[in-house]
Amino acid sequence: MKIPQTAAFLGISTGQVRRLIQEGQLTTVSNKEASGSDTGLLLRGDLEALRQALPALTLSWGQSHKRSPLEIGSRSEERLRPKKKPLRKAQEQAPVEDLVLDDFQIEAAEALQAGLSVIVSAPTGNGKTLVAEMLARDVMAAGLGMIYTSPLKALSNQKYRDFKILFGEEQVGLVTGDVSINPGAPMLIMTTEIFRNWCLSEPAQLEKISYVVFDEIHYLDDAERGTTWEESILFAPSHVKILGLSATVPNADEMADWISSVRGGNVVVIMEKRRRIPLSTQWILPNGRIVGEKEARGELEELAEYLKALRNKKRWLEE
Amino acid sequence: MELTEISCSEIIEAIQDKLPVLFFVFSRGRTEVLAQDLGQDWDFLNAREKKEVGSKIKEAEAEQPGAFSGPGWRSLRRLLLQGIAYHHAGLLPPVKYLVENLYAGRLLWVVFCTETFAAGVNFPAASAVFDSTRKWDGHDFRILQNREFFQMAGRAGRRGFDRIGHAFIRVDSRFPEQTGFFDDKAIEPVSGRLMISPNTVLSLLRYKTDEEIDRFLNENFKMYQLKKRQGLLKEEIEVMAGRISEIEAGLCSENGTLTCPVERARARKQLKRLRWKNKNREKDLLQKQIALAAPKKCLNLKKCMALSERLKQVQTYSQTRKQEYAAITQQVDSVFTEYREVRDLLEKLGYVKGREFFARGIFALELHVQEILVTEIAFSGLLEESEPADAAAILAGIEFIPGKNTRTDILDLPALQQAYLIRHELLKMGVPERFCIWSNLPGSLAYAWYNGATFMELMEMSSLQPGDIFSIFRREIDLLRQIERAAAGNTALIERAQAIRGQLDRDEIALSF
Repeated sequence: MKIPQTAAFLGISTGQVRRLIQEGQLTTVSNKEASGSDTGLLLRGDLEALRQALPALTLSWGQSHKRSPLEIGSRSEERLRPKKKPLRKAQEQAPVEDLVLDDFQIEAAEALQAGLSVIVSAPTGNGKTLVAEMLARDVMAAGLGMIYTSPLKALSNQKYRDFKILFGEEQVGLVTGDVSINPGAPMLIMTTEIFRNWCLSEPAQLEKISYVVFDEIHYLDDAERGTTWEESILFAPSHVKILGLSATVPNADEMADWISSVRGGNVVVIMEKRRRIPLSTQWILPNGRIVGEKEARGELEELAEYLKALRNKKRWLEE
Repeated sequence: MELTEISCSEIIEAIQDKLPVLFFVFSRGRTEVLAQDLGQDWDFLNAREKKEVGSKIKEAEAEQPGAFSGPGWRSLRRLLLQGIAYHHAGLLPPVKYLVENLYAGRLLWVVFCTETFAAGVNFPAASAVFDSTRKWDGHDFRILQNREFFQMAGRAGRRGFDRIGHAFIRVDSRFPEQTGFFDDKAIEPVSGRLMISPNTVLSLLRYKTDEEIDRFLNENFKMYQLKKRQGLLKEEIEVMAGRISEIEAGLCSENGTLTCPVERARARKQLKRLRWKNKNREKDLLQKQIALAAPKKCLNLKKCMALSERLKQVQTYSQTRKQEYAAITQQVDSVFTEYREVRDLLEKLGYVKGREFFARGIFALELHVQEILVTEIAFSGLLEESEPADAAAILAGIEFIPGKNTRTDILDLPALQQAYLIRHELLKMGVPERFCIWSNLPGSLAYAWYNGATFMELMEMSSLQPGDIFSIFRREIDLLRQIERAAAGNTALIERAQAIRGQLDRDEIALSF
């Protein structure tokens, strides 16, 4: 039997089986014959014999064997104990925000100043919004208007609050299905649905608008609502330029080509694939160990095998 | 034995040098359960911070006492004072806003949240933990897409604080096969998702020329991608056809006939097989054919066999491309079919005829949800003739899809019965289900709220969470505004809609900025 099956057979975890082997309570087949490579296989006869002694053995390990890396007492003890306090780092002070723009932000700003439509594709939290804010300043300085659309009402409300602080209450409006505040303002926050409706039924309201920002333009791919973005891009008046902000997607170029083909004019694509701060991904195993991808895959295979063995256990016992 | 499951308290212990953390969980209920669990073991705040949180809470409570009440709030309040929170769509906006504010003020160390916390507004953390990587997408449990994962994991890593951001994926020992592994080089491309709604068709007919409609149908992103793929496939199929005839030209004229030794050997094998299976008639026939054909000696057997093999490969490959080509052609056609079907439906129901608009068509032009159902309810006179509270009850159910555990007090209103019948009639006439989405469940809540019930009372009437009730009413207010525009000229209906809206848009349901 392999280790996962053994664990299921004895009703203990794979880690415990390994411990039994380590402590010499169990021997793998190859060890016994002392020849050839280690197969890691265990004999069923041995297991049958061990089964009687097992409760005493595991008891002697105490609680610690269960979650050895992160030992925690029993529940009832916890309630009485004082709560845990986190480690605090020496200086947890907010750093001074550096005002240096990233290359992609500069490139985007230049293309927008040239009056072009732009698609910016960059990872989350890398400062795409700043591009839209710079654009808003330019547009308003030129005495023109801009519309900022976002995919969710909650986000529109949030943006409205943010932009009110940035640009002043009278400069900013909010139009969603259920609210309309200051709809004549030069800087309008909208849901994409409302923008689409204006394009079709009230294009006169968009005469002074020079740019529309589509935040999260990859919503084009949303099964239910994507069509709203399609219609907005197809029906926005031709003098309105587009700034599309997208999460990292592999086909930003294709989106740009399409927009350019239906609306005419150049559409510049600005791609920032690199994260400002690199990301490390790790997996937390059921026993609490934190491991990298390779080890995680190995453990998962073993876990799957163990679950299968657990399902088969009943049948074995009947045999 | 029971499978051991690491608790979130243990996870936090293991990564406590990498806080604050956003703990992504794909069920609202579980965000709360995990937060409570963690709150048993941990308290992250010192006295000064607790005071600060306390005063921010008091500020928010003073502003909107209604939103901050009830047993749910009391337990969240306790957790906030320990530096722990949960955040999901079932909460009222002022509560979510408070959590966001505390997080931005660096007063929360662990936030258990659903996916929406990662959309839009920037809340960076030192690490992102995934309680699991399987999510219910409305049809099935599936593993997160690369795009979804990186959108969320992207929150890990604060500029100026962290050298690297950390993502941790908890392996769920019940579903090990659904543990995600993600690759930022394999992020899914965006594809076009055009869907034709009644409003799309009406808007096109009202505001666009034939040429523009044609462009809309032919040049949307979905079509752009389909046609591009179609073009590539066509080219490939042609190349394959060229290659096939090239290979065929290289084969001798006897290829594939029984005079060719290769084919003959194959036929013999087939003969044996037929004998085995006792298919005598077929066997005899094949035997005769072999006997009739004069065998030919082949000078170039090896080359011939290689070529035949190659031919078969190319043919199979070409076949798969042709199949894909056919499937894509079908999708291209479906865009036009969908448009025609919706247009024909609108003609059949008397909304339009060609470019001519009738009263219903003009009305529906201003609607953006369940256009046909709402128009029919309005034209039945139900909204004007019944009591305003009844009308509010009917409209609350438009486009509401109850979950399988959604319960509300049942209200036996004749007006709801009538709405049900109108919907039933439409379905019988062949209007597709997706244009007739309506439920009677929110009816009792809207009826009570219109008549002055408190938000607490609504909570007691149903299994819905505060955030759900909030969005039912915000959507109804949205719909009422659409109806006001659609009703142009019908002052009675406009006033009725305005009156309902005024009554609904109050207290916890009202927005604040």
